[in-house]
Amino acid sequence: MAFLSKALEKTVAVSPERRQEADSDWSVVQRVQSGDVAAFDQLVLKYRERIFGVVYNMTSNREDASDLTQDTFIKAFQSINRFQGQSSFFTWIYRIAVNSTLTHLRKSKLRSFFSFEKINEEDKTTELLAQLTDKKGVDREIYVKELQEKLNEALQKLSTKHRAVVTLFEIDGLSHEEIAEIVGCSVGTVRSRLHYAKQLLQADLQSYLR
Amino acid sequence: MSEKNSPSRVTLEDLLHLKRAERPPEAFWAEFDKELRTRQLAAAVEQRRWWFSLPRVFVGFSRYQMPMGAAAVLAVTFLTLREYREPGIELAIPAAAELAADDTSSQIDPNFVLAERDPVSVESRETLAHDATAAEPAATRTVVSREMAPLVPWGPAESSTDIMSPSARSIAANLAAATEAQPEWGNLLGAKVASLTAKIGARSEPLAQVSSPNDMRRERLFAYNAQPVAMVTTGEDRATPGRERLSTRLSDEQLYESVRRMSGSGDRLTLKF
Repeated sequence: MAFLSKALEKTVAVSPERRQEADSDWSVVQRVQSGDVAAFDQLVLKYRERIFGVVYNMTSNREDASDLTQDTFIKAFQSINRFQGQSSFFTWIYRIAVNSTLTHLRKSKLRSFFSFEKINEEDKTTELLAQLTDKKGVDREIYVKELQEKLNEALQKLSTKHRAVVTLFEIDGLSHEEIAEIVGCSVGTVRSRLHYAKQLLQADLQSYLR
Repeated sequence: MSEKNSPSRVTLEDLLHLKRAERPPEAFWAEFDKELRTRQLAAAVEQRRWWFSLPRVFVGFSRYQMPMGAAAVLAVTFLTLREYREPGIELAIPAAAELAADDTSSQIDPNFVLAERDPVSVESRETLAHDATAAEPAATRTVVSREMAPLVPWGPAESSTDIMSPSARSIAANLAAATEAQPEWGNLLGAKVASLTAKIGARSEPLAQVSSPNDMRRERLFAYNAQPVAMVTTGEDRATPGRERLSTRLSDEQLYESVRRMSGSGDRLTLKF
């Protein structure tokens, strides 16, 4: 445990919650490594939505996102014995997911078919949507779909590397340091990519910003 | 109320926050779990290809990449040099040495000396020898030694010829074969061939190896080889720099042409213009 915490401190600025999370993950990973295969299901349950979210926002395709998320967990399961705890399990599995997605996007560059999930209207989302439009009923739904399409288009215009950084930072809420570790570049590069990507998105979504 | 007068602003972060709210329904996860379980089992049953484990094997060697690469390059260079060394040089030296030691009264043909030093001149002389049907013995001798070389491959030493060098064995065998096949060649080469063969045969005797006449012969040969060079540097002091300058200006083809114009036979040197 102490070893893992030290390794984490060395690589990223870790919040106490993240450290606690990493420690609990490490104990589950050790169980899987010692032969308790069923323990891996805990990790799947814990991370499947987040991994799916990242992949989905990078691909903008539900089926691809589902396949890639499954691939990520299978790869993680196959190589879990090689996981030494140098980084947190969370970072490790995110790295697998991002790399798989980038490889997939490179392979299917010409094929672009977008699909989107329904927006779950929570307090903040509802508030935001209300702010965007005063329209009610059918008109509002059409507006929201149009907005989703525009968002997808704007994200897909970014390069895969920029899209990955924006997804991890703005949508998934990871820190710069964590993104740098996942993507495999410096924090400065992450900031630079983020800045550039935001500029492009802002220019693209100008009509929705007010 | 117009949009411009709206008190709160919608930012890019707000719009991206909407993406966070895009979540699949619960039914999707039930299907997801089912598919994942199936694929997990399939992956567990399926044998992984052997090359998938290669990167893991080389992970341990990653820190030795530089020295291993350097060693590999050196090994390849050494093997290449060993494999593709010039056979003509090694064939000419022992033959010249033996001939020099055998017949001190007669002059060693300059063709031999040149053959050791300048492959281009050897080639040109061979061409001349082929062109001129009435070739002289010296030129013929060079051609024979060059052409016979591949007939006997350099192999591991056997029985009585263990101590002989591979080139000496090769020359002796080739000369013997040439004499048997073409008696006129034997006449052409004269007593030198016979004595050379006899000497090489005698050298295979173990006792013959104890004494060191070979060293003396080699020294005499080296002394003789050094002589023409000295002559060139001392006698033609003024001509040499000019020739060097000329040769640097000349292309390979021009140089080849100029070499073709020169021919030597016996004590004569012919220049064609």
